[in-house]
Parts: sequence; C-alpha cells; structure tokens
Amino acid sequence: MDAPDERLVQTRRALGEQLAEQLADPQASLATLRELDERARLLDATIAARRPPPRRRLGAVLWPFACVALLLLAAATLRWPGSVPVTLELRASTVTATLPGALTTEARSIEGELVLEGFSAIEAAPGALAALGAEEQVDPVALRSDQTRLRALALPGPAELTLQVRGGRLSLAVESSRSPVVAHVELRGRSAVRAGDAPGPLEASLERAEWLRLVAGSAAAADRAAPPVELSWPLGPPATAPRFVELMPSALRFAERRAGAGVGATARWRSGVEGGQLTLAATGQVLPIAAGDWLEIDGLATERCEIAVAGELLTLKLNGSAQALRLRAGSLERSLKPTLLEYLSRHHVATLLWSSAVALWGAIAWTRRQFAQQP
Amino acid sequence: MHWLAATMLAPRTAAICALALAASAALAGPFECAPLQPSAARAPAYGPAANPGHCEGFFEKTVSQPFIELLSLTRANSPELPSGPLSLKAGAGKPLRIVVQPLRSRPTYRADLQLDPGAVRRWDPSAMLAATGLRAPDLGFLATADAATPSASSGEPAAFVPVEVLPAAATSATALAVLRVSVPVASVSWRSYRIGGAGEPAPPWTALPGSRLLQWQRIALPIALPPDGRTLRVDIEAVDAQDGRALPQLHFLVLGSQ
Repeated sequence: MDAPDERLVQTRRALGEQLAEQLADPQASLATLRELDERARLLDATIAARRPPPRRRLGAVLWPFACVALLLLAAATLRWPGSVPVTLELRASTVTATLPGALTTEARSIEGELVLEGFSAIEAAPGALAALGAEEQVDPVALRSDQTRLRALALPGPAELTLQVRGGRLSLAVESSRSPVVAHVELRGRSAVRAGDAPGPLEASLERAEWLRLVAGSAAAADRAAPPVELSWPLGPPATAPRFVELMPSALRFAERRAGAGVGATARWRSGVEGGQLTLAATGQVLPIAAGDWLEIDGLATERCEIAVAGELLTLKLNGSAQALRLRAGSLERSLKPTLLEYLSRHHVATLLWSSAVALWGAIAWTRRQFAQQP
Repeated sequence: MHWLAATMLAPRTAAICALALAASAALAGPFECAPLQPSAARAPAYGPAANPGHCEGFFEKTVSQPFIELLSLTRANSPELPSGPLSLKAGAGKPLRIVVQPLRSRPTYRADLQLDPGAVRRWDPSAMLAATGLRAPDLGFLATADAATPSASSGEPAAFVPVEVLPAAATSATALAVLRVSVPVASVSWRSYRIGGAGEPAPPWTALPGSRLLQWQRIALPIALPPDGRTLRVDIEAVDAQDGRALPQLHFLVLGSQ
C-alpha cells in the first residue's frame, strides 16, 4: 500500500505547486483553476481515506492517571521524615532512658536502707564516719540512718539510666560512658554503714549530718566508661514516692530482664509496658498501648519528662518530639509516625484539595486531547 | 633625622606593644560571661561590658535556689567600702573570676570580672549601684577559679579565694563569709578542716549564734584561715525551722595562698 500512496502524495504535491503558479498568474482562466482545485480535493480525500488509522495508545492516554496514582501511593505509604510531637502517658515496670549529656540528679530523702553497688572508692567527712574512707572494698555499701539523703548522683557524660520497681524497691542503674560517676549521700541521726565485706556495720550517732562520697571510675581516665552502678532503696508510703523530673532523655526503652526460673535457666527479655496511651499532636491521633507491647522512641527532644512511682509501677509522662516511634505487638511491627498523606490532610487541607483538583483537570484535559487527535 | 624617625616610629611601636599585651591577656584563658539568661525586662541586660574581662547586667533567674548559699567571701580586714572605683585583689597563682552580686535575693544583677594572677582589678560599682539602687555595703564578692558559675555541678565542692578590697589595713588571717538561706531556718552549724589532713581529730561542729533566720535572711561567718596556706574545706548545715530536718549541706573550699 505504500507505493501507490507515495505516488498519490507526490502527485498532490506537484498539483499544489501547479495550482500556486496558476493562482499567481493573473491571466489564468477560472475553469483551469477550478479543475486544479477539484483534483487537489479528490487527491486529499483519497490519501486521507487510505491512511491507516492511528493506533490508540492506551499508555499515552493513561500515564497522567498513573502518575497521580503513584504520588498518592507514595504519600500514603511514606512516613513523615521529620520529628513528630508526641505526648505519652505510660505505666511500666522498667524505664530505660538514654541521657545525652551530663546530669546531676536532685536531692532526695530516702527512708530505709539505701544500697549502692558498683562503686570503687569512698570518701568520708572527717567525723564519726572517717574510718570508711580507708575501706578498700566498697561494693556493695548499705546505709541506714534516721535522715538519709541522696544528695546528688553526678553523671559526667552520656549515660543510660534504668529505673525499675521490683519487690517494693526502686532501683536506679546507671551505665555511663564517661568517668567518674559520683554519688553524694548525707546521713544524720543514728546511722549504720556497711561497706564491702566488712563483718559488721560502722555504727554512729550523728548529731550533725555527715557526708559520704562514693566514686565509680576515676577522674584521671575521664574518657573511659565508668563501671555500671546500681542504687536501690525501698519504697515508702505513696506520699513520699520519688519523682524524677530532671531527666531529659533522648531515647526511651521499656525492656525488662526476667531471670529464668531454675538453675542455669537463661534470662529472658520482655516488655515492661503495662499500658498507656500515645497522642500525636500532628494528626490528633490517640493510640492505646496495651500491656506487653514493645515501644521504642528515638531521637527524642524532650520538653517535659516526669517519672513517678505509683504503687508497684512507674508512671511516665512525656512531652516532646521524636524522630522514630516504633511499636511492636507480637510479630507486627509498625511505625507510629503519621504518613505524609495523614499529615498533609490534617494541616494543609486546602493545598491538598487544590493540587488534587489541578492534577485531575490536567489529566482529563490531556486525555481529551489524545482522543481529539483522531480525525 | 633620627629623632624624626623615632617620633614617627613611636606611635607604631606603642600600638604594637598594646596589641601584644592585649593578645597575651586574651591568650591567658578565654574569659566568657557566665551562662545566664540576660533579662528581657530590665536594662542593662547581662552581657559583655566595654572593657575586656568584664560582664555585667540583669539576668533572669532560671535555676532553683539552693537552700543555703554563699554570697561573699572576703578578708576580714576589708575596711568600710570607699565610694567610687574599688580595687580588688585575691592572692592566688591562677586567673580568677570575681563575681559581684547583691546580698539580697533581688534584684538579679551580677558582674563578672577577670582577675589576673597577682594583679589588682579596678572596678567602678557606680553602674551597678545606680541600676539596682543599692549601696556599696550591700554587695558581695566571690573569687572563684571555676569556669563560669561558682556552683558545683560535678560533685566537687566549689573553690573560692577570699577577696581583698584595697586599701587594706593589714593582712588578716580571717575570712568573712556571708551566707543566705532561702527557707526559714532554726539553726546553722559549721565546721572547717584541712584537706588531706589524715589522722587529725574530727573537727567539731560549731553552732552559729543568732542563726534563727527568716527566709532570705543573711548571716556572717568568720572563718580562720590556716597559717600554712593550705586549702580549707567548710561544711555548713542548716536545720529547717518547719520540720526540724537538716537541709542539704553547703560545702565549699577556701583556697589558700599557695
């Protein structure tokens, strides 16, 4: 079919030139012009009739819809990349907070016996307790007095602090990446201090408070990690329950180590979460957290973090923004951060609707143009 | 011709000498203003002043008040403070930071001055007195070797050197510490002992007379400095007037003239 069509096209071209020449000539007769014009029209009709119909390419028509669909899919799947504001109220038996910088805890009064484990040296005021300063072995130290005060726990650098309530006692375990970790204790009244493997406690009746300073690691090797230390004391009546408001963690975990039952049994890790709820201010969602769920928060910029003891559990109240929020319930792990679509639909509804309308209009216009190209 | 050249060169060499002096003073250790939040309401706000090694102004109180606080540690021979510029001196072998603050709890105004070892620092308190409406005896002077704030944060007690205000009558072996309590207090007791004095008898606690104090009230404590110039550690205990329990103690070191 190509050769006759070529011939027709060439004839039509020659005829077109001839027609143009005749038209330019003012002497040409109208009959000749009409004849040439008639021929040209017939040739055009024949050529058009013999042209194969253009393949209607479905791909060219549908690609704008595919683009919009792909964008929507990405927006509905990808999580918001930045930090999301988070409000968390949680009950847990264990809270592990990663502290990004140096911290000195506030003074706390302690009722009952305070046990400090993991410290390497002790300094005592030159008073009734001065003999403690000569002790070589100070792991563990058990203190008891009428007015015991844990005046400060000084952490020199980034550390991991674990608070745990178990068996009516609160334990505070610290693993610091820098040395030294110093615990300041003040005792007043009738006191008994047992250090290390000493056979009996050092007893004294202190009219004025005497201070003790327990040091883990040494200031000379400040860059070396301090040995892990643990402080524990019994919980008193709810009115005197300790509260920690000075911690500003950058990451939170709630894993609890359960010693296996029986000799030689391996310890298991389980989640210490007992329940709570997480509110995302960005989308207004309130997510309940069930007991036993694994919750992990990373990249936290804390505004307010309060950990208090309520009964046999710790209650955590957290306000801040987090980079990563992961919840694992059973074998299902998901990120709790909102997707791009959820975030935009909450904050930029007008923009979303307008851009959807424009994209849709553009797609429809394109399709109409594709179909309109048919003769 | 030589004298002409000399007079032309003299200003240049003088400028070079001044530059070298300033550079050496700066190299001695960067003097920074304390990490306080400058006040947004009152002027002048805390910040560097015209001279180097001098920061002054109102600041916002953002940290909670300790129960008992040391405001001033001076030599007991300091006479009645003269009006006009003061000359301050503290015997120590290292650069110190002199903190001048009102003995009252308000207004929150502070001046930080750099003191080079062995030098005398001149300071005009008129700007501070005019801004706060105080008089010269209402000011407390602390000289500390720590970086920015005299409060201990790592568990070590803060170290201070007694400030001497010139002209002094004679070298005195007693330092005067001014303490302020932030809660009503039934009694204040104190003791002092030398660092590293192993085998010495336990230092006795002494109750300060007239130490039944109201909130924000101040009390002066004379401390006898050891003659051999060693560091002295001072422990101060206050008993709360409301429940009779001891408040967290105040510990600080008084550095000797070593």
